Amino acid sequence: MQFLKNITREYKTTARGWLIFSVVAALLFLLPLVFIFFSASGQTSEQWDVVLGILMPEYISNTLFLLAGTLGLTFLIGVSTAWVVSNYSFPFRKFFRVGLLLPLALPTYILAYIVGGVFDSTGSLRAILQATGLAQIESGWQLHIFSPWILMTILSLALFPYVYASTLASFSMQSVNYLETARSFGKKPLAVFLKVGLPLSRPAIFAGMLLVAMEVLNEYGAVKYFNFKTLTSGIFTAWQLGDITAASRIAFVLLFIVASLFWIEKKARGRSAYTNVSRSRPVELVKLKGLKQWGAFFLCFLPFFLGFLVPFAQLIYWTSSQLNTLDVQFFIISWNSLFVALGVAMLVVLLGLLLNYAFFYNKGTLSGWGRRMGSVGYALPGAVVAIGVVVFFTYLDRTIGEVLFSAGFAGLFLAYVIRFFAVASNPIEGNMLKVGASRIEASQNLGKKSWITLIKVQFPIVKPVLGAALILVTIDVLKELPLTLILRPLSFNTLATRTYDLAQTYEAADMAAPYALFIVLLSIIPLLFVNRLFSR
Amino acid sequence: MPFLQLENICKCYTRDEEVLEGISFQLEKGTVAALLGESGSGKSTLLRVIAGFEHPENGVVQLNGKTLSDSSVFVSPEKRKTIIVFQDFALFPHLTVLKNIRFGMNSPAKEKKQEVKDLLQLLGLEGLENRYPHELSGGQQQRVALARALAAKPELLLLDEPFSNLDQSVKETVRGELSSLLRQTGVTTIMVTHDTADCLMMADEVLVLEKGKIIQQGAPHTLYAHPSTEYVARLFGTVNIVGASEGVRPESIQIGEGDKTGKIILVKSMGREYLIKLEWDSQILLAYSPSTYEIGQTVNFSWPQDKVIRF
Repeated sequence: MQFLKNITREYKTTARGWLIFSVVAALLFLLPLVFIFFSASGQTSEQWDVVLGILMPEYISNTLFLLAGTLGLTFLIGVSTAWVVSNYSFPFRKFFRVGLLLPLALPTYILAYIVGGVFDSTGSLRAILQATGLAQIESGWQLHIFSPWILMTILSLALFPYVYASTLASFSMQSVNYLETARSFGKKPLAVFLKVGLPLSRPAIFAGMLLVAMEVLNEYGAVKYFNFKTLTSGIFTAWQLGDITAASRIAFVLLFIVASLFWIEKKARGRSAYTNVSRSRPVELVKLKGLKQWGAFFLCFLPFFLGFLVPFAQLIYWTSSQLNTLDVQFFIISWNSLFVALGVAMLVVLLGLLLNYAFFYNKGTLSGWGRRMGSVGYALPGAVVAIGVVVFFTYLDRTIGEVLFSAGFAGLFLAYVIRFFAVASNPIEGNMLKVGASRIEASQNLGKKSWITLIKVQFPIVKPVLGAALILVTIDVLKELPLTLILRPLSFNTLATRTYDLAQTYEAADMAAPYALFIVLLSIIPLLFVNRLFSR
Repeated sequence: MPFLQLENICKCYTRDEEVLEGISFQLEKGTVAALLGESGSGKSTLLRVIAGFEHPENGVVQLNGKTLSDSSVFVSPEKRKTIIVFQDFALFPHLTVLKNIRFGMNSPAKEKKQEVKDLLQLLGLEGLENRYPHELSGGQQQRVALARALAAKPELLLLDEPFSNLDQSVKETVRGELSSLLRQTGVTTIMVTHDTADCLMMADEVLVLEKGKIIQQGAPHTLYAHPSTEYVARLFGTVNIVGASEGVRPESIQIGEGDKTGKIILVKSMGREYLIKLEWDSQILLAYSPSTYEIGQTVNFSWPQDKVIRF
């Protein structure tokens, strides 16, 4: 009752235009999800009932296996490197501090293609072994690398920086007093880490691992390349066979897992929302000597070497060998895909600004809906969003009796907006929270209408963040694979889908290299931003 | 008809602790009023209700004969002529001092120039026109915020904890300046504060808030001398409770002669005088004295009947 009363009052007393805009946006964000529920309750074709009965358990167990393994590995790599880098001094520490973020620049599917290429019967590994005379290798030699364990390792190498980054940020914000108190009680370094450092950073570690989990569930390219049947790849199989209902059901299961993960994360965090005293002085780095310093060095070097250096070098090598065959198509696709990504990013950033402003201006529940529902999208695997949009648009087309929505870019754009809204919205929201609403209120108080306040006050204040958000979204769109594969109009390619087509369909990782390298180079840009956040 | 009238303003369902329970009061034009209370008493919420940033669940706000808010009317903040000077001043960081001041002005261009010039002079901001807010000291920022507020020609000026962002040393000066400025411009003002010194120095009228209710309204010296409750008495300084509803301020106790006897249990030099703790009738009294005593010494003391505060 109180809720209804509040909402009625909000409707009566706040700026109505912004309120309605927020509610409409919220509905648009939510509709694809709602349609998945409807569609999942529909009739599947008979064959699929059987297939689903057999395949679903495999999809689920495979997905959970990959999830658990990757989470475990990324935890080990991410937390140990973050601890070493923030507490000890050893050779190249400063370099690794940033360098350990670089594997993030390689999308998982690209790393998988490179691994495939390196171990291929004509690949680099064989060439190196041959050339150095370490081993004589028969033609037709093949290493069996397409195992789930290798897949798990690849995902972990590409994704551990999420855990590393959030843990490192948390370690460097921890009050040094806690650590020194522990030390003064005579605890050994390992005990300090396990008993104080680790528990204090638990929320940050969980946050990083949640991101890893989202990426694993979202994963399509690498999983498909390894022919490992997960829920996401199951959605694709069903969709390719034209059974949207089956796809929706698999998506539904995937949604359930996502929701459970968020629930677990929340439970695990519990009431332990630690408020850290901002550190007064930096941690005195412990100087490692002898064998120990090389131990620390290799702990950081190995993930950097395998997760970035080797694949990056391989990409450059392949690209250089492809330079003379590079055709005009490379430039057309690059241009198209940049153009579309930038367009989407502008739309997303604009929406992020407007919906956050609607909330900060009206400060009501309904006015905050757009922003809140929008943030849900980032937790949804791309394939799920895509299927939702497909179902939604098919329904619209059927209602008006024309193929209007399903063809063309509308679906792709809507899906991108849903999936990446949070990428733009979070930094904008953070900025608005930091600056506070008092400047908006001051302007309103001085007699300015809401949109004038937006243009004259809010926009100039938030502008730097908008630029960064624009870059982040653009690159995320360029990298995005599963959603784009489902919704792209015929013969439209992005850098990501082109990489996928060449490496997957034509099994030519080297031909895909220029596209992949372009993605990687672009992806390094936002990492430089992140680095600024905790450079010390 | 009073210039500002609030009737039975209620705001109970807030996320914060601050609630308002049936606030009613009136102010005449040109008054400088202070809303006094501890933090959480609802004073900032009340200010935001008057400015239109909070929506009361019940009650009427009227200003200069117009209804700003009642059960069917709600005038949005940008259409009210109530201007807040925010606690953090809320200067626009991307605009210069001059542009900040001009932001809310509606005068014709010709008059605008003269008005801005007058304001800059009035507030001693000449020469700072092209600076940005972050290039100013705290005191200067506050004067810019005041200039911006006055430039918009408010019917009612609202100051939210105007001195909380200033150093103690700056505060004294600014308080004097602000006080004379408000007299000079004659603008009706409500100021939120938790400092009784602010009220005594600046206000014509003080409204004391406790847990969302106004418990006393009156001139500052009246409240000081005749507080209606212990809470009000304590807001205006230390008070010794000496009866069921009677109190005596430490400076009213005269040690050396009188009908009461007590034991000295603490003597502390405060520089000009001594702070004395007396045990009397199994309670502890605070007093000031020009001369010192031995601890454990028994003394006679008393207080004049006309200095007794009755709640």
